[in-house]
Amino acid sequence: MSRQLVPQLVTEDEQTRALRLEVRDFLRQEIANGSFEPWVDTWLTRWDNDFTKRLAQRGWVGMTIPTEYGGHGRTFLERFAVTEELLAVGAPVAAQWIADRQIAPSLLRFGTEEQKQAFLPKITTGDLCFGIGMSEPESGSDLASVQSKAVKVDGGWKLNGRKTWTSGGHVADGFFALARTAPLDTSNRHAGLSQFIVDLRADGVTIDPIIAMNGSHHFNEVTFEDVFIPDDRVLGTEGDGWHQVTSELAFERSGPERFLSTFVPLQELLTHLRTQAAEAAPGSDAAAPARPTGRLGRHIARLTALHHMSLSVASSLQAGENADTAAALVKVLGTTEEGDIAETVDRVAGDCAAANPRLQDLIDGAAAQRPGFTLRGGTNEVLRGVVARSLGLR
Amino acid sequence: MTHTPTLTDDQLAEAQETAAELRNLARDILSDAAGEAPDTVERPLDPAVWAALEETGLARLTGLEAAGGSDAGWLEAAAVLGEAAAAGTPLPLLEHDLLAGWLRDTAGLPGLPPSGDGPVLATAAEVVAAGRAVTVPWAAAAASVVVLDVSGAAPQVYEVAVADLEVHERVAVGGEPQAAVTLPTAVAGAVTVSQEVADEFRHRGALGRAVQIAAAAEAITQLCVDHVTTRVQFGRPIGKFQAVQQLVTDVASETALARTMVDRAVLTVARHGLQDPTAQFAVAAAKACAGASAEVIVRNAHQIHGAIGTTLEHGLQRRTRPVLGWRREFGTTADWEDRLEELVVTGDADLWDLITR
Repeated sequence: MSRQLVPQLVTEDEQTRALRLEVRDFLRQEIANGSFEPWVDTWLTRWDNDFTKRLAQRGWVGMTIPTEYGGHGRTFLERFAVTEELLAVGAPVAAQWIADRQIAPSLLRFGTEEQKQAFLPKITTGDLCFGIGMSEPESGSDLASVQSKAVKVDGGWKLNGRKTWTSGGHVADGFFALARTAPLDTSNRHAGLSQFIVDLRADGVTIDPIIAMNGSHHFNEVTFEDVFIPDDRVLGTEGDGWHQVTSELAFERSGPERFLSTFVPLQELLTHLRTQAAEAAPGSDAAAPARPTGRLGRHIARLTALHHMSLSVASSLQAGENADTAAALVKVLGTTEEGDIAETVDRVAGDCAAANPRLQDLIDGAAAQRPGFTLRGGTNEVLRGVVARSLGLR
Repeated sequence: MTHTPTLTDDQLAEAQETAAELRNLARDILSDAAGEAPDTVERPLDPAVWAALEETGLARLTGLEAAGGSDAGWLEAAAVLGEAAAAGTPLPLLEHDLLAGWLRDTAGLPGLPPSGDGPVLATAAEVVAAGRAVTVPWAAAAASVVVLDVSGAAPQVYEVAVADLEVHERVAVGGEPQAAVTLPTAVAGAVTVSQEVADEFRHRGALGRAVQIAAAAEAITQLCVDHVTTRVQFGRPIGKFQAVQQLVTDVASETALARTMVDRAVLTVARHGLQDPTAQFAVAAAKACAGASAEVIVRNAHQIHGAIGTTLEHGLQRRTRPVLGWRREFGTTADWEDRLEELVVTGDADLWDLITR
């Protein structure tokens, strides 16, 4: 009767739990040492090569990469625990994020032996950082309409076109560019696309900043002018780019970064409320407990559910199952929730710029990031279409 | 005094297997009865169904074997409870087995002598303040009420015959019989129980209702999909319209979220028992989550079904009406949300630790 849209629940084993607590302890010390200031949406907003390398030294980057490629041969569930802990405290993880999340799995699946040897060990040490090269000025949700074009030349390909929304493109080393290698066939729009491993420092690559509404710079536009891509930097099979790109999506959509982007402001609000309650108590007739706001319990319940949902998708990916629908569900629910949390924190805290400037900064930071939550990685409208298809509606 | 299991992985796997078998058994019993179920506002207990449940041991599934029960745990109970909710068949399984039966056995009450021929059904209620009437589910159908009385200094448990009570019968929003009853306090023969028992009672009720809501939500999702793929307007199934697809996917998403949290709670409770703090947190989250999701699920499901979904003859109301009642019983959505908030604001719990346990 029931359609099982979410993979079977999993319980974290003792070993993974111990790893989780080890990471938690490490991060507590890092924050105490002033190594980083917890922030909002840090897999996009905080790029810190030194921090990434410190994590790498502990074996927490490239965890799922097999040891033969310099990785740690850990499970997706172990990676899940580590990344969740990092996001929950708003650690600066942008430098490793894309490489660790989707570049490495893609290379493992579609890369040549030489490509794996060339890139995976350096990803694991935190020495090689990647961006994403999918969207274009004229191709947002409709990814198959990309106009970047590669033509065959002697010993490789000549790439022309423009990519946009490349987060960290100005500091990353490379990305996988999706480009057309055969003319558009309107009866099969997904055919004729290929992926290229592009060195973002190569001749003919220009990177221009895209400044966000609060003045921050994370996104870039990347322009290719006759960029030469050697044959050995084609990823996977020529013409198979669509299949390859969409196979990254479950990794991209289902992780904890889809519901934890505003967890730091929520935690800061709780600290704020506890402080208020403690300050109100002395001198009053009783130890006056804080009046319930009536707004936080909903988020606590839903975040807990999302944690378990996302965990079960990680387990499904570990088993090599198709989890596209479940991943879309996590992203629709999670990104809506993290945006709603930003709203709730603002509403409960009110104007706190004078009383608690740190909380106000986080709230304002969240307000600036919030619109992106439900856009990046496939808009929620597109993702509902994915779910609708799995329900047999289209 | 109280049953607090800690199951091994093997025991858990065995319970899951049994749960799947019992789900099928319950499905067979319920589908036999479904054809004869009338479309009525009132949904009284079907004596034939109840007799079949008693005969197969499903009616007193979690009772100790020595006391005439089937000695099952929450995984098995949730499977049967959920199957009934999904089928849209109102049954007092939570009240009779998981609450009244458990409370009676926990307190060591002897049980009342049977009177008359009908099914010997028990229900349960909590008295918070002496003299204040409470809503008792299934009261008029039951022979007795097992009462948890927390109005005094220490929680007490006793059983009273419904015949000895003044009950003001009404029909619950879902159609099940219920009654407003002013229960006696300071009853002779009452057994004092620990505060943990009182606490467990509320968590049991909440978990049972959350299980019912999640299972009904899955049936509602299926009804929505069936409707939009068969109902044709403007020359095509209405499910082809994006606006309708968005409504349906939100029903499916909220159902998946509630299902996940409820399954997690049942699993944690089955493994560690209901007095474990992690299990109690999971139950609170499950009831809060299911209640909040129910708002979207019921609203969208009716919007999707159009006018026909508002009629008595349509199966939708057999799932949506009970959900409206269940979400307010054994602690409203807001009650459990406030409890969660208190844990992290006035309590000393760390939010992230709670979420990831």
